[in-house]
Amino acid sequence: MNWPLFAGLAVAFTVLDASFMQVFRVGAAWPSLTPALVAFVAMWAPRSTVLWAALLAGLLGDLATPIPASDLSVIRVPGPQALGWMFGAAAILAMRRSLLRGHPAAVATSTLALLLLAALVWGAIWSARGLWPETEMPWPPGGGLLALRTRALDAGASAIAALPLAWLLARIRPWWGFPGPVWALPGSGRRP
Amino acid sequence: MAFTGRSRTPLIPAIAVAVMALLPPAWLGWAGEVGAVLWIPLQPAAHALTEMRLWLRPPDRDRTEGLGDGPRDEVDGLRAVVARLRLELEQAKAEIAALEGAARPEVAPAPPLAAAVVTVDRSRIFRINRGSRHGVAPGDVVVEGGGTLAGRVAEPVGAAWADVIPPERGGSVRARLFDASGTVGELLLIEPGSEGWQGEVDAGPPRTGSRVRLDDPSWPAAAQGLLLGSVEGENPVEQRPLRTRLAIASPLGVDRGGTVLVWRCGVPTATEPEAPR
Repeated sequence: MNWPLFAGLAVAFTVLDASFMQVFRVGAAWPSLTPALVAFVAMWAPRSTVLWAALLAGLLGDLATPIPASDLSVIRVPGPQALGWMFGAAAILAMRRSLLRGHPAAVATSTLALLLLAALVWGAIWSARGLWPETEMPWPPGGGLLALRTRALDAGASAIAALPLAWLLARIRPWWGFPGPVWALPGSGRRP
Repeated sequence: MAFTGRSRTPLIPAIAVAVMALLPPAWLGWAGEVGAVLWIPLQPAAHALTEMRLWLRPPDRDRTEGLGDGPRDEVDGLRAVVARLRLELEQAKAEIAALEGAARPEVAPAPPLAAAVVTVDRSRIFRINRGSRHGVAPGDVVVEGGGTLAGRVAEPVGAAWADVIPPERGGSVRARLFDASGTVGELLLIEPGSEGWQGEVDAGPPRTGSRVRLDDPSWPAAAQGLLLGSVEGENPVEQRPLRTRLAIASPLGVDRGGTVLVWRCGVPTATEPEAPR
């Protein structure tokens, strides 16, 4: 895989997610682009490359996400998103052979699955972190399910945002250097 | 080589990240530093994108704009009260210092500092483009739209950036309810998720449209009296007929405005005594 291309797009999409994607917010649903990038890579790249890509992109997002540690300080926790995306990417790897990988809808569906699974990992890690008495949870007391619902709405919005992005990424698929025939482009159906 | 297609699954890095994810907060200061360093080259792009976002979709404005001049007069009056209380507080501090025989360092009042919101996180923490280089310190109060409390500067503060924690992330705050006739009562506001503030008061006349202002000793004196929101709805409390639950709508919402004012309190709040009630 073309790692410089992935790194450049991951950084650009992380900045877009933090600064711009709010413009597409509908109610509590807030789309992101970076998960769609991971889902796209998970469609085509070798297994270990996919897991590395998900881990690194998630780690970048974790380090860009401030979490209140108390009333007067914020921390960044590396891991909840990185491990969640890695888990989600592993799930995509398991099901990608049954998908029409070249179709944008497949990337959108995979983005939805990735983020829903990642939300579960995120909630599990934060629940475990709650064992530290000084930890301030990212949801109010009793609001864990509400936080998961918000994440599920985000996942839906991100899946919709993934449709045009997947189409654009597929246009530059030859640049990615994925193994396999280059003719397996959008619309060509399953990869042999 | 780890980054090639033939390498193994990144199991060891994943385990290392899992361990990091479970470290106690006190051991994660380095992650904030790494995140800050990573963010430095991205800040100009983030700022430009925020400007574009605000141009494309301006933030939701004060939902109580149509109330007329009454609330604005109220704001002016309360600002005067705040200014008077701040003066009294400074005087009281000087008297305490004199009584304790300690030489209190002179803190020159700093003028408010305009700052631009660079990024807004899902957790509603937002970053401004002013930092320690500009005199911003942890605990400084951040105000939007003239008199609406936007949050408090969090630690750590970078040279040219600072993260701001909005009041709703603090769990609960004490506030005071005002209508056109003046103070209606005190209430404790809680924020159950993304539903907005909620607070309970004694049942009485309709409070819809009344304004809610901060009155919490855990916040700096400069923040007392600032607007938190207005009453949007009233519901009876189950099994407590004499109480009413108020739903408070914040005029800020998730769409923080493009520009805020930082009220530099002079000293970090952590070392500041409690404000008078």
